[in-house]
Amino acid sequence: MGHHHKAVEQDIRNTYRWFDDRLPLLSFLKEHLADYQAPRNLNYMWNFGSLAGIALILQILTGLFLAMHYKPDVNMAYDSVQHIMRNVEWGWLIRNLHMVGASFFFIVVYIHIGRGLYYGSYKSPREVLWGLGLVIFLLMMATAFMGYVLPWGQMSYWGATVITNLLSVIPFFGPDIVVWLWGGYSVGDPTLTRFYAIHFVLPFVIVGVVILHVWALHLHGSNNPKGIDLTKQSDYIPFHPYYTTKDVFGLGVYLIPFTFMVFFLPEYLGHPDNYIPANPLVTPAHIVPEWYFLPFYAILRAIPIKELGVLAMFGSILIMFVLPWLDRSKVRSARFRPIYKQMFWLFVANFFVLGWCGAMPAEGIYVTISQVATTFYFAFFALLPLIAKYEKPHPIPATI
Amino acid sequence: MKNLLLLAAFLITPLAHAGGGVEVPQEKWSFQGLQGKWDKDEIYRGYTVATQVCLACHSFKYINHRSLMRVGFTEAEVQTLAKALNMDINAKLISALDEASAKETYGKIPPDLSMMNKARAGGADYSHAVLVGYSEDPELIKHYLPEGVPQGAHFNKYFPGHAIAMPNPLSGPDMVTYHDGTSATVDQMSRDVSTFMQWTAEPERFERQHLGVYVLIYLFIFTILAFLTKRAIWKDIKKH
Amino acid sequence: MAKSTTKPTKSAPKLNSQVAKDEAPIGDVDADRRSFLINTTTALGLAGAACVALPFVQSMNPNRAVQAMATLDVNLAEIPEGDFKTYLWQGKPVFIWHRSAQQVTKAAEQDATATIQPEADALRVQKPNWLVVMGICSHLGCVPMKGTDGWRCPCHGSQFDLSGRVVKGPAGKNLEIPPYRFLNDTTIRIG
Repeated sequence: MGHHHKAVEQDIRNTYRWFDDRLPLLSFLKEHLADYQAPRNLNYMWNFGSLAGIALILQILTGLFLAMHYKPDVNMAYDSVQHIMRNVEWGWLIRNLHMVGASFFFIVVYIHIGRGLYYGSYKSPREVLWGLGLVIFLLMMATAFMGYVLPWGQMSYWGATVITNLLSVIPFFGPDIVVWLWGGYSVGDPTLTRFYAIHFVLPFVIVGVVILHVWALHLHGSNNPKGIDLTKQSDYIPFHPYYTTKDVFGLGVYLIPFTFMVFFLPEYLGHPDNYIPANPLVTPAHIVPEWYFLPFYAILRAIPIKELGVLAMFGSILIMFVLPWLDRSKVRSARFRPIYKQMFWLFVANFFVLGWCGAMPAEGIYVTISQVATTFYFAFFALLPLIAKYEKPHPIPATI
Repeated sequence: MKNLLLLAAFLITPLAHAGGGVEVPQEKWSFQGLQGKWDKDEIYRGYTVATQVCLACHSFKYINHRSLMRVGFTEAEVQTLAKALNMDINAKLISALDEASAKETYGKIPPDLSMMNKARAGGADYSHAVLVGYSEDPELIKHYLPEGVPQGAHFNKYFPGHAIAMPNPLSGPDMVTYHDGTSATVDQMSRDVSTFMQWTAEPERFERQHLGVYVLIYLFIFTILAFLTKRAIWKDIKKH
Repeated sequence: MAKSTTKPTKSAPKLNSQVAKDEAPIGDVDADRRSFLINTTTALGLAGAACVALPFVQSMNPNRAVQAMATLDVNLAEIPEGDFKTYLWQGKPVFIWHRSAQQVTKAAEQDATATIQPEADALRVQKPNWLVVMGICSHLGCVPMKGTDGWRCPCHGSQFDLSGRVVKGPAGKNLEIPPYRFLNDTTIRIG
């Protein structure tokens, strides 16, 4: 029995070697998913990277099964969603997972970005890693926006109309580009069908960029809460089993509120108006994008001149690409940067204020608040070079 | 500070739902809470109002008689109900009122009601409030509509804008006769049909909630085990 | 799995050649102590994943709308005596033939000639006047065409008699009889 067992083990090992010699796929995966040397002092904020990966996979899976029942046609789209909810076995579960999953994906990614900001993970030598992350974020926004159009409710239709109209500010070509994007003279059947096609394919583009993101990460290794470079082997532990078990535990913690929303409050993060079928003749009294767009929507509306508003909105994300060059401080982690730390928390609070403004009607005091918050949003970035110059960091430990 | 931010995050979303108009009173419903359920008799009464009153102008296009089998009706029962309306059990509940004459009479096509409770903030509370929100009281009307009720419209306290094209559908008691002898007051009919509309909007509600309880129990156990595993594994690592 | 964790990983991180080669920070471990936890968590996790897979697989089953069409009620009053109609049931054609007394007699006589798959006509019908058969040739799935004495398949020339029995190949089997029952004298439910 024992000998037999050993022989089987040897056979498996030989087969593995034979295959790996011809295509080193498994050893590649082992190198990056199991043997990857990670700092030993990562805290739970570092769970959100792999969590985002899992959220992405879940969206692709649920999306694939929804796509088997959904119909991207203006006369059938709304009905087909109801068909999924009522007739398809477990259709309601798969759709709720996809719907709530999108929101939770954004929560995870926002925390992941916030962690990078706080611990200075964007600094040298990780500028490209940071930039790739922002590309993922932009692709996610495009995917989520087009996905929200698919149920073809009132918010789908008018959200699509308002957001695509933003492109009309492009000088000279703007209006033609908008018509080209729509495939008509308003948002309509061609728009819905192409949004569906793009919504289906973009997540796979995201997977591609995620691979580049992990590649860039593994080249120089993970940052850590102290933000210092690791100097000796005893600073490292292999990803498996330490971070795999930690990530599995983190996944469990994540799935509890996620599941709660899926089964008990699936509509909580949505808007009732999107259950009114799209009607090109009537605009809802109060158009609100999905919650994860609200801060950027507030920036758009804070500026009364359309062109500038659009510039500010896109600028608010694009400016993050140059963050590594705005913040010249040699110290990475906010733990050792008293002023930056305060600024970081103000920036986060301000981001919530912007989100709140985005949900409010664009009138009266809300406009003023959005304008102040928008100003602070950009001031944060503008002040970074000065902070880097005048801030006195706390003493930096030599090792973790 | 961090806790405050977290709190703020949870406060933002409900604010996004706040709309104009008169606050709709919150009612008690048999489908609320974890103990809630679709009460077959209540759904039956709601169905009676829906088919004898609403269906004159409104459709329930995502519902057919077969759907009623999901709340405990037998096939024989739904066959009988369908036959009484001269319908096939697989036929959608489509109003007899055609779109052209609806437009002529009311100026617009009455909306489909299957998804109404999900398409309005407040859900069943809102439907009930609008159904009992009609009034002829001149003082009340003057308070909400100082300019008077527009031509062809009707005053309704809870409808946004207070002027609704739909004439009071439940204008008096006993418009229907209930199968179980319940007295068909206006309030009763309104509650029953609002419950019915909640069911038509989310028939999967209790399949969802019942499964959810088990999934959460599973996840709690799994997460605790995952934590213990993680802790046991991390014990390897020497402290500095 | 537990075994591999008891030893420090030998390879130094490739990411930084300046990393000093001191001891890895992993001490000795009693592997048995925690193997129970690991196995339980893994098993529970895999069971959970399997349960999650189930709804996805089942979502591809015939949905409620399709299931609702799984049975078809036919009003036989639509078919005069001697006449024949085709109905769509579950996406497939069903032939219903209201046979005259003469045709019934002839079909019984044809019991002798249906030699490829012998079956008595009396056993192929519930009421002699009503022949209910699938309109799918048992050869390669084409829809046979009605003639005076039965059907002929346009694809490869198979022939079927007044009872839907094959009398000339290449088909090797009689036309199939779908499950049906008489709800009353004038209605049958197929499926």
